[in-house]
Amino acid sequence: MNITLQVNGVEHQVGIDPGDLLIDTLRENLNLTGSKKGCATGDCGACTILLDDTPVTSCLVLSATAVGKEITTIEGLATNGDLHPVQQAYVDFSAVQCGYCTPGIIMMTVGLLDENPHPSDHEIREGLAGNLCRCTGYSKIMLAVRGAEMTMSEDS
Amino acid sequence: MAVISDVHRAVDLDDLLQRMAESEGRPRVLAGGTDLLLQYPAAEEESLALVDVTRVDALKRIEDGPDGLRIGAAVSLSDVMRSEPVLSRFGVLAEGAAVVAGPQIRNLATVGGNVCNASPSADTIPPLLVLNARAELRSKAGERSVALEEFFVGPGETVLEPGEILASFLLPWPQEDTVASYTKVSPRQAMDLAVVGVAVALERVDGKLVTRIALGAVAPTPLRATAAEEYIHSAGRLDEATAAEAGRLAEEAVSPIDDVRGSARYRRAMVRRVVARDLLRLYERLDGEVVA
Ligand code: FES
Ligand code: FES
Repeated sequence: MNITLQVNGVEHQVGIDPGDLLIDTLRENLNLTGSKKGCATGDCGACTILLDDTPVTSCLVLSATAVGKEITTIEGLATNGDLHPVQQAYVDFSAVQCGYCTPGIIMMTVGLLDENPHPSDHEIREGLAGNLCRCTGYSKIMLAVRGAEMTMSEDS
Repeated sequence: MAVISDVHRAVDLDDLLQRMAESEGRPRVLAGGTDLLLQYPAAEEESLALVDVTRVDALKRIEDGPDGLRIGAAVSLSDVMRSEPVLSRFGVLAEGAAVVAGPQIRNLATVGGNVCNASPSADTIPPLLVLNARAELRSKAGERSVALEEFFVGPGETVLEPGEILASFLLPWPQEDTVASYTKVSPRQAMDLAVVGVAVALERVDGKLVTRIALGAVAPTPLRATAAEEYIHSAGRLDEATAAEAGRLAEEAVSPIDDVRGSARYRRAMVRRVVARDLLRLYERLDGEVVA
């Protein structure tokens, strides 16, 4: 079947099978390989994207049901070559090691701060509970979220 | 291994019921997809036609009425958790929804899906049971309402007939002073299934203690611990001794299995302890009294 997906503000026509998963359509058809497929079972969060500004695991979404929704992936965060404040904070606080979890965690952080601009530590932990990172031990990720929170509240 | 042959995105309730009534290929309801998309490859059918219900507005509302709060089956767990009427009057359901998986999954998953998947360990079911929820079912032929306790037949099996869908839950308004809680026992704090789930509601009716106790992950279906409930009612009081006896009676009602998450013995012991503990905690909230 042919569908139109709205990804990072751009419309794409894609031919898919009804059972295709959004993570695969993004990566394989649209070449947006920033989102990672770590588990394909909803457990790791590496495939997290925003669907109408809401963070979801794109390995548990059929591409066919993403039609009509605004999809935002890690590739859509930077504007004119400037990193999004959340991306910049992950760089500044060295919250990235191998980087495999990073696109998903950054998308989740964007969603988290959007909904709750000043979360408590507990709320950050709860917010990122669906994202696994095997490298950082999460401490630097916590710092990066705080850093992003600060730049974003200065900006607004 | 089954494949998905078609995805129809229902635009409204009529369209949905019409599709579900078409016998060919026995269409399956696709809501959040967080269980179905993991399970379907193992389905017996060679191919599956799915009907997406997430655009059907009639299934996405939370409405209060004279007989109670009606929650559409396609309301996401995140929206259930944040709903003002749920938080203020049916907080135990928000507690259950909040401990399902992680935030991304809760944004997709729906309360109706959590119930229709009929997993013994589903975290919204024990809370709904102690809230006396009714399941409102619709099909092209009509509608019916069943007590949620009668909705489950076995693991993954419900009373839904072919062509029939779960449209909403009706939660009767509780008494002002009803208190309730949900305890999920699981090795990890997030992204895990319940090894034991215990929901307890407590209220006073005509001066008598009335409790409802529902247990998850300890039998083929979630269940009410009616012997324990009746015991508290006839004992007429809650203290260490009566709470412990209620815990023991609740344990007698369960038939857990051993699996990777926990042994049957551990599950039994947790049912006994958590039921007793939560009854006492709720009693303190109900009366503002501290039980020695
Ligand atoms: S790939 Fe989607 S959660 Fe792991
Ligand atoms: S940086 Fe390697 S998994 Fe997170």
